[in-house]
Formats: sequence, C-alpha cells, structure tokens
Amino acid sequence: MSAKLYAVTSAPNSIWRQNFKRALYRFRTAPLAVPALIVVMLLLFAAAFGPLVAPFENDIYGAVDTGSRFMAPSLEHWFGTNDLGQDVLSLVLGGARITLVAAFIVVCMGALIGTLLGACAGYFGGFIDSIIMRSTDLMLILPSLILAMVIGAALGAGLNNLILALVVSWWPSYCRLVRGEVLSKKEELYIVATRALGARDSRIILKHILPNVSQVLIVRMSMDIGNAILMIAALSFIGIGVKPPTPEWGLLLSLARTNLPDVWWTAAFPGIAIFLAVFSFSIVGDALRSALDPKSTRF
Amino acid sequence: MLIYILKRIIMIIPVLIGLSLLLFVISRLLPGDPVGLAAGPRATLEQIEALRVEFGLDKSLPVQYFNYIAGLLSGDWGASLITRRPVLDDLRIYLPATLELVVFSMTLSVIIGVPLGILSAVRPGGRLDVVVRIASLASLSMPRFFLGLMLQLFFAMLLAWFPLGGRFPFIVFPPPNVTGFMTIDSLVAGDIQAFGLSLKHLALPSIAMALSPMATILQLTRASTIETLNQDYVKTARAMGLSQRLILFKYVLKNSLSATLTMTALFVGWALSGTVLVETIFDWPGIGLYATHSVISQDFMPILGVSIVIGLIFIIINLIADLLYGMLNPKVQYK
Repeated sequence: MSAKLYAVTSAPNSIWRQNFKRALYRFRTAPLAVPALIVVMLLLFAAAFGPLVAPFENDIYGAVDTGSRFMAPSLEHWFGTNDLGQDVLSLVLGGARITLVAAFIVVCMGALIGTLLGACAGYFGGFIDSIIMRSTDLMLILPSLILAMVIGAALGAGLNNLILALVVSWWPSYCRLVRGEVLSKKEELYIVATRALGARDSRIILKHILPNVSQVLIVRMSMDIGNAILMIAALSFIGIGVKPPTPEWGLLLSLARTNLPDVWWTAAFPGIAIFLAVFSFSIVGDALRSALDPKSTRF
Repeated sequence: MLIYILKRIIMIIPVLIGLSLLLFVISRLLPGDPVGLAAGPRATLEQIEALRVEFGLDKSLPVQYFNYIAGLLSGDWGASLITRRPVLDDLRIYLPATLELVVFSMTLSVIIGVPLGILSAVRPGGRLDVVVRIASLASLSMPRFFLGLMLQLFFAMLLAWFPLGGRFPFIVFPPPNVTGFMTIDSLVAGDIQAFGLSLKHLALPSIAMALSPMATILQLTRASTIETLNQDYVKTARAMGLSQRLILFKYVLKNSLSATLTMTALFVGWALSGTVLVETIFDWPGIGLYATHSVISQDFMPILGVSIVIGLIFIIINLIADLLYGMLNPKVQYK
C-alpha cells in the first residue's frame, strides 16, 4: 500500500505505464494472440480499402463477365471465378467491409442499448428492474438465431433490416451482464460518498458506475464480434438478410452450393474467410481478456 | 421438492403467454402482404379479402391475439398460408426428425468432449492441452453451414461414403412409424438394413451439429476438472499416496462432472437453433428446414409455431437441468 502511494506521488504516469506494459505482456504471451491480431488488422484493412486493392473492382458492384465463368484459381484470379465470371478474391475483399461493418454496428448498438437498460435496471431496482429484466428473460428464452430469423422475416430482406433484427436480439445478454455489474458496484463506498455529496442519479450512473463497468464490457464486445460475424453470415446463408449482388460472405457461400463439387473454390474461400475472421476475433478477444483481467483464466 | 417442481411448472404459463405475445407482435410488424403473396398474382381483390377472412386477419390485433392464444391451448395452432396445412400436424411430422438429430449430435459431443476435457485438465498448459484448447476454439469459430458443406463435399460428393442429404432413401420402404426416430423405428421393426441406412443419413449432419457444443463441453469439463483437482481433499488424497488414476476417476470426476452435465442439458436448447442451418444444408426434414421455408415465403403461423415449440423445449430443459443439478449436488436447496 505504501509503495503504491509513493509511486503515485512521485510520478503520476508510471503506474499507468506499468499496467499498460504488463497488459501488453499478458496479451503477447496468450497463445496465438499475435498472429490473430495480424489477421484482424488485415481484415480491418480489407474492410477499409478492400475495393481499392481488389484486382477486379467492378465485380464487387455486380459486374458480370460470362466469358470467364468458373475459372479455377490461377495467377490472374487467385481465388478463381464464379458462375457470373466474377473474381472470387475481389468479392471476398468487398465482402469484408459489409460483414465487418455490420458486425461492429450490431455489437455496438446491442451493447449500447443493453448497457443503458441494464444500468437503469440495476441502479433503480424495484419496478423498473422487474419490467426490464422480465422482458430480457423473455427474449433470452429463444436462441438469438431464431429470434433474429423471426424479426428478419417480419422486416423483409436487406442489409439494414438484417442489422436491425440482430440488434433487437443482441441487447438482452448485455443488459443482464451490466445489471449484474451495476448491482455490485452501486453498493461500493465511493458511490455512497458521491451520493452523499449530492450527485444526481444520472451523474452517478454515467460518470461513476459505467466507467468502472467499461472494462468488462470491452472484453465482452471484442469476444462478441466473432459471434456477430457468424450470425450475419448464417442469416444471409439461409436467405434472410442481404440479397445478391451484395458480396456478403454467407450469401456467397450459399450461392456457391449449387456448383459443388466441381467448382469448389467459390464455396471454399468465402467459408475460409468467415472462419478466419471469427477465429482471429475470438482469439484477440480472449487475449484482451487475459490482458485486462489477469485473474481470469485463459480460454 | 414436489412443491418446487409444481411451482416451476405453473411459472411456465406466464412465460409462454409472454413469449407468444412477443412473437405475435413481431409477426404483425410485417410490412409486406403475406396474404396477397399466398393468393398469387392473379387473385382478385375479393379473393384476397376472402382469404383474409378465412385466416381471421380482418379482425383487430387484440382479437387476433386472443384467438391465437385460445387456439394454442385447444390444439389449433393456425394453418400455413401457403399449404393451408395445420401447423400442429406439420410439427408432429417434423419435430421427431429434429429431436433425433439433436439427441444424436449431443450424445456425440458428450462422448468426445468430456474425455478430451479431462485429458487436457490433467496437465494444464501441457502440449496436449494447448492443442486441444486451440482446436476447440477453432471449432467454435467454424460456421456450422461451412463445415456442413465441406463434409458434404468430401464425404458425400467426392468419396461417396455417405448420402448427400435427407433422412432415408426414397426408393426403400421406411420402417413403420412408432416413435418417429428412424433409428429406433427400424430397430423395433427388426430391420438391420434400414437401421444402417438411417445411421448413414444421420452421420454427416450430426457431426456438423456436434462440433461447437463439443468444444464448449470440452472447455467446461476442463475448467471444472482443474478447479476440483486444486481442492484440498484432492491434495490430501495425493499426500496419502493414492494413485493419480484412482483420485481422478473415483474422487474428482464425480464432483467436476455434475456442473458439466447441467450445462450440457442447457446446450440442447441452443443446439435446436443450430438445426436451422444444418437441416437446410442436408435437406433434413425437421422443424429447422420447415422454419426456413416458412421464413422465406413470409408464412407466419409455422414460424410462430416453431418458435413456441423451441421456447417450450428450452424452458422444460432448463427445469430438468435445475432439478438434475440439485440431485447431483446435495448442497442445493429448493425454495
């Protein structure tokens, strides 16, 4: 305790730096964390600049070249071409933006709504708590894929509707998580002290409780991106969600089914892209957890 | 104990009402015109109106909901707009197929997941442990539909070891329907050939379904076994010189597996959602495929029916899991 005090008085930044260094070390030593981080960076790069680096940019927007249908992977077409003569590599690169952006929106919006509702439920308790938590429980009865399917079917096809359907089925788990955290945090002394100083409820929640919940939230969100990618691809695969010619990975895979087994590359590469994206996001999320919360066990 | 069970069963009723209300409200958000779609492009306005009256869609929303609930309780779950078949009849046909797939794949994932979890818990951080953990994370990241497609590509199309899809070949007479489970029915009929055929049809979809619950079961078994291995009574047993094998199988597993088994029961509910994807790929005639077809044609009564069945199964399994946990762990008290 005294050593800590000494450190704070002598150099205010060094504890932060030390903690950061330790976290970085824990992140680096988590299994596969660094290669997974590289893959995540590449995916983010593809999402940002995919259409620019794609060898056949027009194919992403639905250009058709029936002269070069079903060409096997070659130097010109690394991932081959599909039934419309489109370059599969370009489609996969273009799909990165759609899938990743949609996944980020779903997770962020879901976390935002869930956090606000969960914080209110945990902080105010009583009637508000019962109403929010009973409806959360109700939504959690159905597996989120089924719930998103029902909502997606009601809203109709389209990327925006797909995102909306997923957000609606995404917030309940965050609501439950945040409520639990808030319940334990609100009894702590510094909150009681803030209340004694006369702070308003909104200030206590936003300025004092939520910042202390944020670490748990960030870890959960980073591990959830992979799930969101899986769910978006799954919904597109069964025909709810985006429609052709949008090059969404799940949709590409679903369209490729009819050409198996001779034309394997139109199915294999989008599938591998989904797998790699989900795998590396979960590993990075897991490494982030062990970096931010050393007490938790890995995997 | 009995009072507790009764209480829990009574609690199911408000939950079901809430669930049906939630689903009903969502289904009526529908911006499209399912009736017009069902009537076809050449239908006159009168015909569409007649269809609307036939399905009770001309009434106000509260009345529609009341009628739906009354129907649910009296065994009339509505009818499909497209085929006009009663939903409950369809569910009776499709549900056993899904349950057979779920039971088979869950058994598979427990049989493989639990031993691997124990093996990797014995030496945490060891080479086998790292490989098993990474493999399990990889299987959790594997999209079920991609895995299913690849299994189909290699084992059905290229090697032709297994059938491409479906539940039973069209050209063979299926065994008489007793339980709805093809495998059990063919055994009841004493038809070994049919049993083999139904197993062959089950193999690929079950593997595609089993992989991700297997990984989760593995991780749970590993975590709870490590936790139990670190407890004082295990240290005492070790200090007394008991062999590792005796400690593991006689004293540790009993305690570490109770939590895993409870969680496994819960996965059955989640596995039901995986059937949607796997059934679509393997043309497995279960409720998942039924739901997918209905979703694409915006046919709402079947979707409501399937969701309510899945919700109901999930609630019941939750109850069983709670009771099971209490039986395996005497410390739990029912209130």
